[in-house]
Amino acid sequence: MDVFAVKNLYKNYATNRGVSNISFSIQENEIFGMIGPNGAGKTTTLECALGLRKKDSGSISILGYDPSVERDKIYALVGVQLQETSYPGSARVNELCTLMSSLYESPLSYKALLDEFELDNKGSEYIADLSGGQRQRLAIILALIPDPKIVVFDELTTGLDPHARRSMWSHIRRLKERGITVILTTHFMDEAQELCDRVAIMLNGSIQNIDTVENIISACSLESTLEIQADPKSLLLIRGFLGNSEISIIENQLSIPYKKTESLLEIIRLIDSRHIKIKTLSVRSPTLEDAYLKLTGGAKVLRAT
Amino acid sequence: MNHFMAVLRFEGRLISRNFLVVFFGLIFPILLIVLFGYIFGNQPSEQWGGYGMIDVSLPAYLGLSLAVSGILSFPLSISHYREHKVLKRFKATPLNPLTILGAQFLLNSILAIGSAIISYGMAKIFFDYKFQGSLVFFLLAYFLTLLSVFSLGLVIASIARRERTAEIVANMLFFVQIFLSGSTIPFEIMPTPLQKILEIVPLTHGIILLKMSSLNTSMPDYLYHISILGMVSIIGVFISQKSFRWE
Repeated sequence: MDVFAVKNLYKNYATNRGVSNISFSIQENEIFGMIGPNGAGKTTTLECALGLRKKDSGSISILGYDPSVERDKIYALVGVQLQETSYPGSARVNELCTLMSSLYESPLSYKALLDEFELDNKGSEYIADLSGGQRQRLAIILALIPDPKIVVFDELTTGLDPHARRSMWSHIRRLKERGITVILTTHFMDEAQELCDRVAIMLNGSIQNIDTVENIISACSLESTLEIQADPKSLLLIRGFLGNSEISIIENQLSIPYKKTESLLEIIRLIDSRHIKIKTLSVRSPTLEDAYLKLTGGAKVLRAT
Repeated sequence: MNHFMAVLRFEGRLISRNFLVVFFGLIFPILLIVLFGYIFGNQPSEQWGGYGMIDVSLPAYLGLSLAVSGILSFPLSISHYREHKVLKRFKATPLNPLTILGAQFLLNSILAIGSAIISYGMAKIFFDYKFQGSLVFFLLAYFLTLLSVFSLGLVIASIARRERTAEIVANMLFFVQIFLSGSTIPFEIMPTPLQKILEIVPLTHGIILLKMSSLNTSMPDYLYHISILGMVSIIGVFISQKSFRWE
């Protein structure tokens, strides 16, 4: 079932940034990611869809409601974390949560949410004293207080250290387990690859590609690489009997590009059968990042900020 | 109404933690009364038209305290919210932005009114201040002045995208108001042509009304002053309604 559908969305700004003819739909309980360079239109798309910005044209349906008409119906059903929002530093965590709770008819208990997101001992702390990761967890809590069916996270993990980012990932996965549909934007390709069921790649105000991570990568027909480290003599030996012109040797490392898993196994069997001593052997598969760079690198980024 | 009470409680706590706002809104006008009362006393004098210094100054200091709360403090938290996208975040909730404006308006008014009551008490206890006019007319004048001064703040609060912009505009407006309205330099010692020029400043009319109503002098032009204050309030509210920005 589609819970979030955008059809032919257009939005123009005087300054030329904007989005054109955006259409996509998100299914219930999906984690849907939007990636693309700064200025590609991710935030504009989401904010127009949520009714936070006026769209020029297009139709939006969120759980059957049109945000430009029934804004108030939507805000108990959709929890948001917006890019760049920073809450007053002199407010305490409890106070902000109480305020947010008072805005909804049947809010979730924020105390339970503070527990769940490991902020249970931070309730009486000033927001100014929270770390970046704690602030973003608070932003998730505030998004969850209305007990939403959908949550929207706009660059939730930007500016976080690797540990905090990974802890966000597990929180986001847990939201999916609770049956919530998650829509997120990110600049981290590993994050999108790790979390998202489907990804939309945006560039210069339109959607370039929209599919599962797996399909996006395989559609780019990128090669995997087998990397072998050994002494130079052994490496030359391997290159000699494999007779592959694409093999490169740099320092003590040899790289062999391949496309199919069968050819990888064949290469390894050949090396093994000749009893060549090697130090390490590793396989690098193409990532979403490789696909992203290929898909967005060719096109000129017109409106990077 | 529930939303309003929740926002009021939240904003009230934030204001109480904001030293500058509390000091200048509540305490500073009281300090001025005590200081100048101590220096000049409140003896009737020809210089003050037969009244004491405090008798003519108290209404002016009330105007000053209204300008501090209404122009300096009131717009800042709203423009801060706008700059830091808090208003936009609230747009994604069922909260009406007017609720935040209303709560800030009320809290800053309470600071000014509190300051006015304490100033009056101080003047009465220490300097034998006597209120000689009509209380009803005085209160009317006070709330009309409050409304018109805050409506200037409201315009800044509704439009300024950045806190810094709000601060600069508010400071300019504030200093023009307090120096040219008679709230710091007594109106009486200014030459008559200058007094005429000062009438372009809305607060001038407020202070004239407060003076006339507290000293029980004749008030030939009171309808003129009232209508100017009323007009400023209406225009201020109208502009802010038309041009309120979420971000």
